[in-house]
Amino acid sequence: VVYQQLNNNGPIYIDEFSTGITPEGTVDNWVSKGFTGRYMNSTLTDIPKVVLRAINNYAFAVAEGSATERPAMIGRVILGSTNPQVPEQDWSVIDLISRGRDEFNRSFGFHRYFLCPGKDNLWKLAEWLEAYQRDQGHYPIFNPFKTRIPGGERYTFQNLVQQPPAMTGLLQEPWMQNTPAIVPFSRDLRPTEINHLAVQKAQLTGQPVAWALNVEALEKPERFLVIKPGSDKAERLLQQLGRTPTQAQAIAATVTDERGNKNTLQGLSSGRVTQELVSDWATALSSVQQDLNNDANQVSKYWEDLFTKLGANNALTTGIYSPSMVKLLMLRAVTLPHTLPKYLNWLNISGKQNDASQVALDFQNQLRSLILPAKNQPNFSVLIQNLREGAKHTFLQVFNGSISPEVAFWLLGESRSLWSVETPWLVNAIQNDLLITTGATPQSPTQTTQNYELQEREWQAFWSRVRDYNRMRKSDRQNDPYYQHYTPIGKLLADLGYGSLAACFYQIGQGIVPPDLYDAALQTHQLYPMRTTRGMHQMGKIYGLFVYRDRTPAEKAFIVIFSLMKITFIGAGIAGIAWLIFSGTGLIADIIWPAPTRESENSSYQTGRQNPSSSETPHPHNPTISPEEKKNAIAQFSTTASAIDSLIKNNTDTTSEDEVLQILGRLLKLNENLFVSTYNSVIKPYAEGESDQSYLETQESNQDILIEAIYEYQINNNIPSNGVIGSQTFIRLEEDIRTIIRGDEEGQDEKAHPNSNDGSDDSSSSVLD
Amino acid sequence: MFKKLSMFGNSGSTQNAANNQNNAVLRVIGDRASGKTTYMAALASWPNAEPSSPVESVTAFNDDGTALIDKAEVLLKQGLPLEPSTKETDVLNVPDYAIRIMLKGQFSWRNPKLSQGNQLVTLVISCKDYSGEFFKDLQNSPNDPYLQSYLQDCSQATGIMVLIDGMALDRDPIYANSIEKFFVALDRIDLDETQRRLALVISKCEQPELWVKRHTPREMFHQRFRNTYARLDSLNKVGGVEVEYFAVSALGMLGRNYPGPNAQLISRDQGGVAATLKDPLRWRPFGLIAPIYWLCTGERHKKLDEE
Repeated sequence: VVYQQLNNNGPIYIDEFSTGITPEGTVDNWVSKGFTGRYMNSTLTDIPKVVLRAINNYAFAVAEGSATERPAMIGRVILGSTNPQVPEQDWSVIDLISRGRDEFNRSFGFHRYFLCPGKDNLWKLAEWLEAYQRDQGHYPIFNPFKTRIPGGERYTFQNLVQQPPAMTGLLQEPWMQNTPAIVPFSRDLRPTEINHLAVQKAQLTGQPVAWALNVEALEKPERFLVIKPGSDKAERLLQQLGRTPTQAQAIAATVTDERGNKNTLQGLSSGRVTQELVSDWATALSSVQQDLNNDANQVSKYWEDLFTKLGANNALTTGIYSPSMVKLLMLRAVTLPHTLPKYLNWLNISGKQNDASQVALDFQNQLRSLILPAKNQPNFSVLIQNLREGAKHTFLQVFNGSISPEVAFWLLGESRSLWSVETPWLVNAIQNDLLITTGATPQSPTQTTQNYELQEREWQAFWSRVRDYNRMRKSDRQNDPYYQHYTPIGKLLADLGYGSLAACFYQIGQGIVPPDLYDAALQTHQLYPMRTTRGMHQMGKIYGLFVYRDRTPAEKAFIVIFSLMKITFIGAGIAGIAWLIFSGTGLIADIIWPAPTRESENSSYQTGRQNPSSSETPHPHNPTISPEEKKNAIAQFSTTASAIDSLIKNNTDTTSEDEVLQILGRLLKLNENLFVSTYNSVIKPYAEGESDQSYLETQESNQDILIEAIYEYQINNNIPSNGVIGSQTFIRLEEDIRTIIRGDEEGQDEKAHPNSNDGSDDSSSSVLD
Repeated sequence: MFKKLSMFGNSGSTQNAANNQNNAVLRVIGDRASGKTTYMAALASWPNAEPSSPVESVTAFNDDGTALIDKAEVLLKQGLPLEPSTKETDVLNVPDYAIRIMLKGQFSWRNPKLSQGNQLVTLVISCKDYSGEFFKDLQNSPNDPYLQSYLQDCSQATGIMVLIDGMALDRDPIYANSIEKFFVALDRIDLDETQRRLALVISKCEQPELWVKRHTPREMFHQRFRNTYARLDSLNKVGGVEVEYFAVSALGMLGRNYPGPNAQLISRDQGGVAATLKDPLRWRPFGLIAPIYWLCTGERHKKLDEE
């Protein structure tokens, strides 16, 4: 595999370039009068980008003070890029590092790089160097006066041997078993020999060939496969490599442009917020994923290491709040979304502005303005995904109580915040998933989780309790502190301006919705406001969830006053008359219920039930139960409850409980879901004797609705009306239920013969609508 | 020009009152071999601190910063002068040293925030040390495009430290010119009018003729670099740049009663002095933190000045 070009035994053309300096003196005696900042004596018009990148990433860097009189040599295969947009070929490079001086007598290493295309030519370069040395008596080290020009003269080499020398003996040496293998200083090794060893190592490790010969100290020794030290001392130092970064990290550093990525982060955090750097950052986020084969662990480790190198951990632990550290940690929180809570905690945001949070916001705002226009570019996809992850993470942190809604708002709601770019996306996803959870968006049984936008395990837990909410009894919910976690979510969503969604989570969290949210939601959602003589909690349905309106302080005060009046002026008649007058005219309601309700006032009394269906004869309006009758019906509610319970149980032989419930709900012209929930929360516990009085109090509005519905049913069916399911009502309801069940079954049978149905059957569809 | 203060508030730095923390973004510029990297390496290593020193600790807290300590090791163990910093045409390749300096509290009338009794005062700097070629190119090839990105980078700094080899008397006219060119160019690149502090730091003050005058750095500089002093003085008067003078030595002295430089001389003439550490075990630099304190806080620290 490695020597596949062996048969191609033509000459190689060797390009070169050198460290750029201003030399002064002669070939044998020169000093550097300073760096030019560019390479010089290059035979290439453009030095290959991958090679420059490797140099920049310390692939050929020797440590400070390590250049010796004897030239050091570094050989490497530099892999190009297979990216079809910017394909780059592989290169074989050998760098000769020799010592020189400047006019201040400071000595340091000067590089002369020799390279030829292809990853299989390194051994030929090594052969050539040896041949050169044999001919000239020295290696072709850095020589500022050896003028080269792009496209001009260059070395060529026709190698005499067919293949590199075999050195199988050395492969068994104990020092060859480590990576990097440190060759003992005492052992003589030629360039071709060390190259051969490195090739063997490369085959074992799958890494590109990389070796260093006669080096005193390397900047990144872990990025080599074989190293031959230049002295005993160097050997000892290299042997101590044990505690240096792991090979995996070393590989990550070489396959990614670590230096470039570091520069990008450092540039941004030092306040240099340009389109170019922001784009570099976005590209780095996605290219590191690619370079590390989408190994999430490795990617996360890579960035963690890089941020640590830039001082992020130290800033966190020792509380360094310099602007550049505040910015760096912010970049880290985007790059590594799981670090976001720690960052927020470190910034100590508590609703108040501090210097650091101000710097962070200004910085986010700068980034935001550059990211928003580029958001849909492919190279920004990981960045945007990370912002979403951060937003999701923060949201769940509010849920589990680790951060407050106020802090989360700083991140998700602040108009200058970077994460707020993705807040609409998150809210939309939550809304989508809430609708699925409550059953408001039907989903086929085969697609249990596919429809969810938020798929992670944490979210499944989040939604499972919402799913349970409708099924659980209120008393159980109240005893389950877990539900309280949903209240801060309600608060956060309310602060973010998503009132209706907020209302749902307040409901789940505390069983009641703040009146302002409820009223606002009323404007945009189909609610079922109900007014009852005792409860006075309005109730409605948002996103498939029943919500109750809390009272404003004024309303609460009014009720207290009203109750006091009732007691004080008890001359029972007076209270009774007052009650009649007020409730009859709806005066109380007008006083208590705020404006938004009025929009639905014309239907307020009835919208709690099904709209009268067209097939039904409209009955005389207001078959209203009198307060006396209602009082009576409440007193006898246990009769009603057990009657309903029997009705359900009597009919569940062929039909499920839920279906019977739905049929009964339809017969009573109640909203089906409402009826199911009333049954679960009021009737069932009551019939089973589990409910105490205080619990019933809280359910009074449901109870009232049911009593009114029974009353209406009785009138429509010419049964003596009292709002209680006595024997006559029971028999009639049972007949109706059975008729409908039969009808449903027939209806199903008749689907095979659609024409046999003349449409006269009004039992199911029309009533059920 | 240079009227409005930077985003980091009145002092040209942010101060986190809770932590009593002063931050500054610094750039160190100066001629080749003026001692910039050696100054930074000595600062980051902070060797053999005197117990009575107002400095509690100096810590490099990023990778670039800790690399300085490795450089100092070379200076120490091999007795070699540090290698010249490579001229990077991409300014992002220039290392950015992040260093935290903790000082014992002291009293200040002018800035009560710094007077925290026994509490520690923290200076946090992020500092780049440009290769000397930058300073030279400002003078010789001012149109080189790479200079623009450096100036852009400089414009983010709240403080500039100009290091001048106190022995390089010959260079006075060149420095005068370069410094003026630098500030004119910086002014043109600034979008905001930024008030900056310029610490003129005389380096290599272990040299006897400098050492004796180390406590009066302004006068010493005035005597030795008349042209440069005059130019700085006029910059100061125009506004936008606030100038203070400091004397430092990265190598320090040996002995108390008969002190001599802890320096092994390599070369010494009117173009400057080149030296390396003589006795690594007794390496104690002086004056390094005084300019940083001033750049961070806008105040001179009496005890640091007297070091």
